[in-house]
Amino acid sequence: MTYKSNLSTLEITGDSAVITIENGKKNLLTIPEFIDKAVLEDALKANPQVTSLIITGAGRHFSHGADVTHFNHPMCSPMHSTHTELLRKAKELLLYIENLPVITVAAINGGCFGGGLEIALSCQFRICSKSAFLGLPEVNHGVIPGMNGVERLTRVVGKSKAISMILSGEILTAADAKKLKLVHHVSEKKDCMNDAAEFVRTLKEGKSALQIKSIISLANSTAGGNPIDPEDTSFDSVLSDKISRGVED
Amino acid sequence: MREITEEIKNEIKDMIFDYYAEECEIDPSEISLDSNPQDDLGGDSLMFVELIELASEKYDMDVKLQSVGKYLLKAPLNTMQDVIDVFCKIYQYGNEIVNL
Repeated sequence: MTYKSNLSTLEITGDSAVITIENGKKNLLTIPEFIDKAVLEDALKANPQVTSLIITGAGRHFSHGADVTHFNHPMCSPMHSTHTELLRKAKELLLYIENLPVITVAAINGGCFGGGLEIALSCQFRICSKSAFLGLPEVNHGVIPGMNGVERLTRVVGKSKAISMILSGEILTAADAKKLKLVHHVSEKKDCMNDAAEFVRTLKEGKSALQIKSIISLANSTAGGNPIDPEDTSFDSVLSDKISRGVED
Repeated sequence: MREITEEIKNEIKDMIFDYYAEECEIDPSEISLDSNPQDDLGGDSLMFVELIELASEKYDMDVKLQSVGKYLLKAPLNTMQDVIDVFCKIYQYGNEIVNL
């Protein structure tokens, strides 16, 4: 099943979903909400069997982020409600992706800058090709990351590194990003998509959709700052499901 | 500053042409020293940085991406000759390239 929305194509095959950002050579985020949240939400609701989502970019690059030539446009002024609204929708989309109860992976080839990295940071895992470059260079254009990239990068690499990286507009190589645990795996291939798919397949192998979704929901809840809930019944639900499916140990 | 021989320069030129041919999916014979990497070959600005990163181990080059970026602001890559010249300067000067 294929859905086209904003700058992206969402493809659902069996239990796997892939969003491909496609907008020129650099996959610029001329619309910050790269896929309409309602389209993604409806597609995943209509396909409850989906247990993984990979986000990637068409061609050589993941995404070079916003079109910086637009920063001087009057529409980009914070006084302009349209711009504020577009950014708010993008932030809601990334929060939605971050809280999905499925395995989320950003498959990063080439440049992953600014909004591109902010999208990748909303995923649980980042897998990149050896020639990938990652960074939040917004300061060089007189602005700051606008889609909660500061907060998410801080969570991943720590406060000091996030602050120095963003204030200096530092661009990391794939190898450096791996050292910082910003990426989880560096593919030796030019296109890391197969490695990302294999990574997901290995994680999912032999687990039920309920197991995967329960584990990720609990992890999301804790990562979101919620206290541990002793009344949580996820274990019982998964056990009942296993018995009803007649799964042997 | 590291010395660079004519032999290494020729090797670098061939390596750069092969790299752009592969990345831009064109035949190396279609590339000339006057070709514009972006307009004629369909490349992009990140391609050169990728090339430096990929070749840094082979040519034992110690250079930070920031240094390459700063130098490129002074020396734009308008032709493949520019690409070769800047690559050779990075080979010779490493991070000191920003002071040239």
